[in-house]
Amino acid sequence: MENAIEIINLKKYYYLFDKEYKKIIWTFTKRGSTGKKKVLDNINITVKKGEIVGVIGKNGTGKSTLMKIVAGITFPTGGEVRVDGTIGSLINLNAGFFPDYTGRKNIYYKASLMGVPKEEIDKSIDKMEEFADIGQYFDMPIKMYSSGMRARVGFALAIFSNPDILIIDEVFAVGDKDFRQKSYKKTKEMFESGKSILFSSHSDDQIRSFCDRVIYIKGGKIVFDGHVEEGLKIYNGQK
Amino acid sequence: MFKALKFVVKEHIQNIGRMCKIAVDHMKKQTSLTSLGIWWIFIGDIIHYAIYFTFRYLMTGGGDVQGMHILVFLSSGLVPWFFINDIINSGSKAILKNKAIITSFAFPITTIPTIEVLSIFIKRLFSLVIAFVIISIVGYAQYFNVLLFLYYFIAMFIFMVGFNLLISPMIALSNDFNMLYSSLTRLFFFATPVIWSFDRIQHMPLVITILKLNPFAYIIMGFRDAFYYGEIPDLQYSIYFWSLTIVVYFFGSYAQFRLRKYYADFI
Repeated sequence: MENAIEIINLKKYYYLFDKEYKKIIWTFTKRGSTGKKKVLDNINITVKKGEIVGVIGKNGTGKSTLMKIVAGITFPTGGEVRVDGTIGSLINLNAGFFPDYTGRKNIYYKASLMGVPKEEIDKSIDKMEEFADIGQYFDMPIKMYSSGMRARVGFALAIFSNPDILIIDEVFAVGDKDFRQKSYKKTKEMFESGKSILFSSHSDDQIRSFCDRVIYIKGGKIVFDGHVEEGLKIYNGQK
Repeated sequence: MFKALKFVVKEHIQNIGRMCKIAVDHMKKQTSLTSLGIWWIFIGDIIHYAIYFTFRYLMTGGGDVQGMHILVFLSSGLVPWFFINDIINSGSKAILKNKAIITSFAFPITTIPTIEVLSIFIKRLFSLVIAFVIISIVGYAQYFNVLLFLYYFIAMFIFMVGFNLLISPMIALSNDFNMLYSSLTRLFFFATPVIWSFDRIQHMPLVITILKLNPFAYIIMGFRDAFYYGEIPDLQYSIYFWSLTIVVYFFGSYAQFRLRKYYADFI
């Protein structure tokens, strides 16, 4: 495949139920749902290898759902997603952390949840420790960390597991200033290293500095796909 | 339905190493908060045994039960029951407990209930030691039948994996089901001959037949055979048990296969 990501006619609906127990009936008989809520409709996106595509849109328009589908976390109701390469997702950096485990142990635990082999982590654990830059806290329970420290550890794991494709969902909104500065720099390196990236953000500046092109999603549909400045103008004009 | 079963089995086999590693991590998670850690499993079980023995003794005296020394009678019932009960109560919450994994990772979701079963089984292996110590002390080690024990142990494991595949999504989907389920689990303890035996109701064969429909009864009575009686599994009863197991696997894997795309939306 010459493209990194191909999204073809993607649809995503949520099934609605008026009574909870009907979900059980629906599981076995496919009947009992009272309707569908459209979250994404007729999405067609191609990301070439090495391309960085920004995704913008108001909250609740399906951006995160789209990112999660491409990352393999949730599934489309219709249509297809084709991907060529390993995927790393920076969607919820804090997920999968166990508060009583140390930062180091958590990295190994989370890596096994992500399906990254232990040997890969062994190779990069020192680089991750260096990036996280939390000193001796790296071997202390993660419940003692600040949110910025936690975010740095999560980020270190996602980045150093060296995926071909990155799915980034507003990750720079979390964490403290230290985290933002550090991860910004590292992400910039990554953005310039030839990886294919799908990047969702509320920050116009970030979109401008990193992206080759931008996609504007409104009401679950693609309203614009093209030049960054033009897309941002349309988006801001509608705010 | 076959498609679902094939998919679930394939996903399990492909991920077996990862499942075991995560199961061990989950087991450690539960015990890491205390300073005694894993010893609490031992201590908890010893207290459990002591309570059951004491009350059984107070209610009916300490004499032999169905020809077995009362301590062996209780151990052979409690050993499998501890496995089964843990899975019924906490293993069934597998989907709920692992919400973070389901909503934030690209994970082979059909393996989650099995990971919980594995985790509980690993934890409970320690409690087998207590039972072996008891039977050695009272001199029943000679009656212990390794083959029968392995057969019923594996049967128990296989059934509980299927059981959890079916029950854990139901609990995650519906609070009503959860409530109904919680009220019924207590029934299982009393209906299964864990601390009593069917010889007390010999005069009610219909009741015995109904109670034997409970697959846990097959397992508990089987463990009694393994620890003392040495009788080989009854053919008719075994056919019933394994047919029920297959049915549970069909419905359980179908539920997992169908719901795996929707968990992240539903919960």
